[in-house]
Amino acid sequence: MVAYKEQYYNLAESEIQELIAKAKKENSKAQEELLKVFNNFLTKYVSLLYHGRYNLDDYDIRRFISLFVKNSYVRFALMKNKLNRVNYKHVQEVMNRHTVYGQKIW
Amino acid sequence: MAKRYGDEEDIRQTVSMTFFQCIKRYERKDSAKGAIPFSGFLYSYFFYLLKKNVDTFLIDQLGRKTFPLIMDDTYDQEEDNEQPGFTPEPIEYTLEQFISTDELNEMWVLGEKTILPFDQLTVQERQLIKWRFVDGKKSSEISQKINEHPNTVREHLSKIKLKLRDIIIEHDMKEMIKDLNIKKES
Repeated sequence: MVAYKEQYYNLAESEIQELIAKAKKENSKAQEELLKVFNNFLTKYVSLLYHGRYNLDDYDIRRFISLFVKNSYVRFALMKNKLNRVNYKHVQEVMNRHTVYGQKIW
Repeated sequence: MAKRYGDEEDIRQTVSMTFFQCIKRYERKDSAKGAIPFSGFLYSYFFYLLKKNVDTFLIDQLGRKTFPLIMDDTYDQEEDNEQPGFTPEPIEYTLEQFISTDELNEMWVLGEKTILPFDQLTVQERQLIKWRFVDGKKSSEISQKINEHPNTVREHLSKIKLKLRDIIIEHDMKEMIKDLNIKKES
């Protein structure tokens, strides 16, 4: 696992709202700007999905991964960030995409 | 996770698309603690939508079974069963009129702007329709996207066409039956 330094955007909410209003009107500059502002947030999902790198201390990532975990006990432990070794292995297997919902995907 | 499916660009696009879907759906609402900031909406909604899109665009596509080879590429050819008597000139409809939406985009594929008969199709089926008939991609190009044989794609498209016909007949959509010259008994 790779540790991430979560960096939240430091734009004022009014500026964000302005960008969102423009982005909704298909303003490409505003869309690009928003992508830049939320780059850290979005990149952690790309890293998880493509590189398989994730940080279970990140609550967003735990919630996202939990959607792939069928076992409710493991899911609960994952949400609370209290995985034991067996549950941790289960989560790793899910994220390695060997099985999701009991089906071999790849 | 999805490394074995596609390249990083596919994944980045899926993530970015999800982000823009969130922006599109976000409306600033007041709560007891004041207005909900965009970040609050994003953090509580993004991951659900991303899971849905990962399933749709990065995983489900591989779950398709393979069909036997079709030797002739006859999918686009109209059946020329000539009818006796006078047949009025067909009315020219735009694709948007047939698909009953003004914008043929990912939201349509996801079923958010979709009405009968297309709302009865799965997301994957609408995606195939969009790629083939809206984006004008060839079966071979689509097959590369979903890791399938081109003939399998053609077979999927044929099945979707039949499914749509059945839905139109089942719901007795008279205008479409007339416009598309659908025969109920066939």
